[in-house]
Amino acid sequence: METFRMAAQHSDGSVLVTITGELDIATRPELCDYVDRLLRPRPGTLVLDLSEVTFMDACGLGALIILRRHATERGTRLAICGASSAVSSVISMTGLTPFFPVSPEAAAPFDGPQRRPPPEHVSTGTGGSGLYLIVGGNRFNL
Amino acid sequence: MIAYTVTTWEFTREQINTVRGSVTDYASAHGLKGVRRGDFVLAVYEGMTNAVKHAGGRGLIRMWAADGILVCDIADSGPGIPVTSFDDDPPSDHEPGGRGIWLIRRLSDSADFTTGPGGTTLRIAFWLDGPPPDDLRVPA
Repeated sequence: METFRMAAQHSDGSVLVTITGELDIATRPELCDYVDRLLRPRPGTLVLDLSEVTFMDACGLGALIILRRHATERGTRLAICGASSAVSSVISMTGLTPFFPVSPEAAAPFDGPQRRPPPEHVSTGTGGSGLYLIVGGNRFNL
Repeated sequence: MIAYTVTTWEFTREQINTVRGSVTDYASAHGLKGVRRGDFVLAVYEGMTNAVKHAGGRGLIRMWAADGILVCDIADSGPGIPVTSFDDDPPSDHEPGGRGIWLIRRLSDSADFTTGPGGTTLRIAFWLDGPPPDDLRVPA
């Protein structure tokens, strides 16, 4: 059985939650607890990345419906930036696509240094030798 | 006389995900692939979660393949399924529950529910060579 994993990234008062594995009757309570905690400080937007969800059942879909309601109650916008075929087929079959549109651009604010291309113009930093190394978009002063 | 080899699994809430793996393997071994296998496994899983949630928390699966059809019975000893659960319309968009049976009926080539106070048996069937023409589909 695959492991169920959740991770959160914060950016400018918004949260991106990446979910990996099976979203079903077994993992639904964990997902709801986790996301409800993230909703407590009332983020502007909560983005769900469901592109690595390998299986979703009606209970998993129910969790998304509940979380959307909880988000609305707190004035948070719920967005989905990616959905696997396991997720999108259940959403479309149940006629809920209008409520869970997939908007890849919702993940844009979270394109952290590791996802951003290296800057075109670089200036020498203060301190160190002025030399630095860029690895995977991260800058290391030498 | 024609005899089929039937494979059975008992399940409780703790075991449904393991049994789902076994059901997936069984379907693969009989040639069900891709989206069709995904639909089959989801339909069977919804049957198991129904038993776990509403019918005493346990049940029995019997699977066999015959004449190009993969069949799965999911049996429980629960109180039976109320007739309102078989509405043709899905629940309202804001309702988090109540889509299990609806999904089973949409996903399966055929889904027969035999239900009463003594328990429920759900028989899900999938044609191994692809979905049957609409006029051969058994209305659920």
